[in-house]
Amino acid sequence: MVKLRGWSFWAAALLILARCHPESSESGVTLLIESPPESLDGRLALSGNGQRLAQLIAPDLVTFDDKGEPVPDLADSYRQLDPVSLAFKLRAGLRFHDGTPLTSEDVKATYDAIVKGEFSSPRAQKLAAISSIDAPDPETVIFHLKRPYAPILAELTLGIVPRQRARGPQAALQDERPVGAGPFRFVSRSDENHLELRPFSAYYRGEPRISRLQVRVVRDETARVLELLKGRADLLLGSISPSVLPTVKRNPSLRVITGPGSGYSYVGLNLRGPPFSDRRVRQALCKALDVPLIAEAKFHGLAVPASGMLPRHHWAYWDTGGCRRDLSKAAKLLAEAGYTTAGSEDLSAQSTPPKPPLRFTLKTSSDRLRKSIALIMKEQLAQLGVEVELRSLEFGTFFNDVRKGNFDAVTLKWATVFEPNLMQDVFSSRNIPSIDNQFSGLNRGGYANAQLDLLLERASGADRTQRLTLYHQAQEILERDLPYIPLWHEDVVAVVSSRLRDFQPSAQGFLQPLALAREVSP
Amino acid sequence: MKKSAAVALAMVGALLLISLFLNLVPGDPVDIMLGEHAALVDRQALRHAVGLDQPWYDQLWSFSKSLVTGELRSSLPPFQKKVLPQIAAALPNTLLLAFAAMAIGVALALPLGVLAAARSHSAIDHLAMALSVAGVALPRFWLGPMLIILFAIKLDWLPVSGAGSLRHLVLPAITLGVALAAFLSRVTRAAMLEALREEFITVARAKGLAPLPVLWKHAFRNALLPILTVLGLEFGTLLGGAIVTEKVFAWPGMGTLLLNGIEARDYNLVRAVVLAFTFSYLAMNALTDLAYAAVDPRVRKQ
Amino acid sequence: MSLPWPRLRGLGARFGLAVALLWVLAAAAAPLLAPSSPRAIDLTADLQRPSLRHLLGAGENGIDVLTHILYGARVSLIVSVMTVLLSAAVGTIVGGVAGYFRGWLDELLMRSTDVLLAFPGILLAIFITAVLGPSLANVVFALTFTGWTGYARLFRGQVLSLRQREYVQAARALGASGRRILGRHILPNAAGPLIVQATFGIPGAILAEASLSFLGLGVPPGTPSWGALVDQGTQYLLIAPHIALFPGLALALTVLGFNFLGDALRDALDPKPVAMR
Repeated sequence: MVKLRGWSFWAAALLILARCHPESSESGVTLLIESPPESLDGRLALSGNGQRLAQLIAPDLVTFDDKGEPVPDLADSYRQLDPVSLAFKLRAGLRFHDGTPLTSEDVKATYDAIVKGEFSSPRAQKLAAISSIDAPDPETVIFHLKRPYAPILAELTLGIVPRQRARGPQAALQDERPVGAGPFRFVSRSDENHLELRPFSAYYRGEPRISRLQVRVVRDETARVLELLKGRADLLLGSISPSVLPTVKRNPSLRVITGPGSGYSYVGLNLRGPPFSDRRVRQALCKALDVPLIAEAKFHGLAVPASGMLPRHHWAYWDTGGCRRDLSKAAKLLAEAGYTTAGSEDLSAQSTPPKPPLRFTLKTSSDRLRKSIALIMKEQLAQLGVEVELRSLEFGTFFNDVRKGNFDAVTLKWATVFEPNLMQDVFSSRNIPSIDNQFSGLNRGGYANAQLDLLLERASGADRTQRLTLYHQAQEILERDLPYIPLWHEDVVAVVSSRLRDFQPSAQGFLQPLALAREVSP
Repeated sequence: MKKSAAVALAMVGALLLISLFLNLVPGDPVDIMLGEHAALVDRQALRHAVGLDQPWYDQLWSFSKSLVTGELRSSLPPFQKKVLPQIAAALPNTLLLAFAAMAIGVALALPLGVLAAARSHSAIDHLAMALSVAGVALPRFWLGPMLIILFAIKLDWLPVSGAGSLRHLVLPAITLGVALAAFLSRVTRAAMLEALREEFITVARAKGLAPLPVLWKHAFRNALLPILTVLGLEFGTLLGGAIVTEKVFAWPGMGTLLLNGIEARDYNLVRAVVLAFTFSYLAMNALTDLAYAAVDPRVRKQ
Repeated sequence: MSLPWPRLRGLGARFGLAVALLWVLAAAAAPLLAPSSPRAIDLTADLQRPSLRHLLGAGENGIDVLTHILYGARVSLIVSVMTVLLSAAVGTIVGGVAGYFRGWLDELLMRSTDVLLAFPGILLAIFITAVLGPSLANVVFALTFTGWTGYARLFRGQVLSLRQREYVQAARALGASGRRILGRHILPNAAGPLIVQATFGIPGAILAEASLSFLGLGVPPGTPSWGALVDQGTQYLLIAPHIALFPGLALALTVLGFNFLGDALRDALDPKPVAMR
């Protein structure tokens, strides 16, 4: 009968579909990322994935190590000629992926175009300190600055492109078919979710020992982990919940490699009005939360409670203690600030008018981990009689609210922190977002401390020893004022299959370690 | 004729309801959407984008006009993105899912229902009917994850979520189609029993002896009509169920578009998607009615 | 007005009755039966599989799944019963008025049901709760707003068929008001089908609330709900499948039970020939 045949047809079709695996394993290493890079041109990319992939293909003069120290990359060495001149000596024999040599002309062209506005880049503002660039010989580049500016090194990471792509009609090619001097060269991008790279034989450190690097976008975390568990992918950097790691570790062909990370998670506060305009309330918050408990429970040892923005291993790190729970001190601070707390009914009965409890809204993105952390914070604060309303928002909406200062408190994270001048970007009163700067200022809490402003301004132009002292002082001030409540630094987590060896994740989340890793046949 | 007038009226009523709903909300919807700290300039911008700064008749007119001409834009800053292309991109995916679910529903229900009718009151019949009752009770947002656990995680036969190949369609279509299959199998069984009874009566009256397979074929043809009716009616349930199914499987259809719009507080997009759903539903109903009329000579006379 | 207690026959009916009673018990006695409080978190038991301390396992932050299922029953009971009562009330009033007075009023009211029925499935309820925000009251409102049409049509049909009966004519002749006629003469005779409709309305409302909560639009975040729990569970299918499994199972069994109960009640109160059900 027709009906029965139809039934078996469907069953057969289902079985056939089940057996075909279009992404089956061939040679090469597959890296999984959670969202597609919006651009492969380092001058344009703003997302983490975009910047990391762009830098892998087209590196720049320097890169940064786990301690946040600048390390020469395409440059062989650099030195300060005078307080406003920085000279770089390029390595000999550098080549682009198309075989043409990379010389100082390409470096000058890349940066000139952005500084002069001939190529529009969102990073242009950061290069504003550059007044001119000289290329006296093919291996030397000299950057002349308008004033001493130490953080300039952190900005020389856009990626050197061939001079004809620095500006003009060919510049757009860098986004579609990027060319650089990095360990991996662009081969193809079949759609936004599939990118193929191959090792560059003339890479200055030697050809990478990976035959092929495929980068695949898998948005769903369960699917990402499954790909690894089933042997269809080889590398995952971050973008995995800590709760999944025990399952991953049980798989004999996968290894979990962790290392100290420089990401900084914090609670951002809005200081423009009550309740957080009062420093006592901010300090009370710091004493009411049990940060080490949350870090341990949620990250199973893979997060280090933070004392400030800089991680412990950073060269400018200064230990200021961080937030440790002391409920009685917190209660006292809140009472001084005019709020009632749990268990203080006997005190407030005597005061007229009756004091209200502290109430505020905590906004988070819709990420599950952040939401569950916010829930724990809410419960911890409830023990003090503080009422927190949680609002989780889709990331676009969330980010817009953050930029516009439309919040009481938010939980956020800086993905990597290696340049201490980020403190100036974030805490200087100059950088409070407003209509004038199209709300692009990073001081979203509206914090203003004239003393700190001066310190950070001086630190940006000082030499290394001076910077150290100044940043130590800055961290002390930030610990007293608490515009951010420091939470923790998450470790970098890499899940690696048996096909990849010698991979040591960078604390900054860079992909450069792939240049030194080795592919083996399983 | 009367039917299409009723449909048009319903569409207009739906348009009225949806485009003016924001006005019916107690309190200021802009306040609810943006929250307390929002700057005045942002409030005004949103109010304008959503049309709340106009009297209700102007709102209705401008919303309807921009919807029909395709000029309707997102109510998210910078208020530029057109809504219609997003719907146009998502709608085919939802329709694909709905039709695949119908196909699976039919493929499961017809054999089951016919078998149950053939062996009515036997153990097979009871089992089939028990399955169908169970199938209707299974919530889609539970069935989906259970299927994912079995077929994607444990067995690794099919992908966890997303779209992009035929394999991605299998689990979502099954999830969406099972409830339909359960209901449809009951309908099939009942329709077949009824049709068989009539056939036997006819044959008995003619006092001839027709071979069994012919009897069955005739019965089946007569049973098709009520089955088709139910399919048409159930399309609406499929559309509604697609929203949940799309969320479970991250299927890029209108349900996902709707939920993303709600999360991002893009009420122009949300209103447009709701109306697009409604329009698809009404259009499908109208088509079913036409098909019904074409197939059944008795109805054609109306 | 006394209803003959329907005789419920069959295994399905008994199963349905048992489920319904269990559900009411769970909802009512949740604070007594639950091993912990619905707001309690237990950070050491984050996402743990079922164990002695957490009989059905633990969810995010160590919430006890069993506790949330029991309290979730409470939410589903409140929402579904309120929804059905309000929908039935609104529906019978509207249907009664439309069927009794006819004319333009009937036309207007029936066209408005057409508008509501133009929205497939729970789409309109999704839209309403999206605009109003997640809360139990908004869910009841949204489901009632979209759910009264069935009762209206049913009762209107009953009214239309019964209004020509002699006792109704007699009552009219005696000068009884429309309300009296509808309430005392027509409603008791139409009660059977209405009760059946309500019995099927409960699992429908339970499923609808669960679906809305699954989508994040139903109960406010943090309130225990079967749907919200399954939503949480879908994030952890790989490592903690129990979070999605158990509340969904509770949901499926409850809906199944009520479907059986409804079938049995229909057989007892409103028997129709088997053909096209």
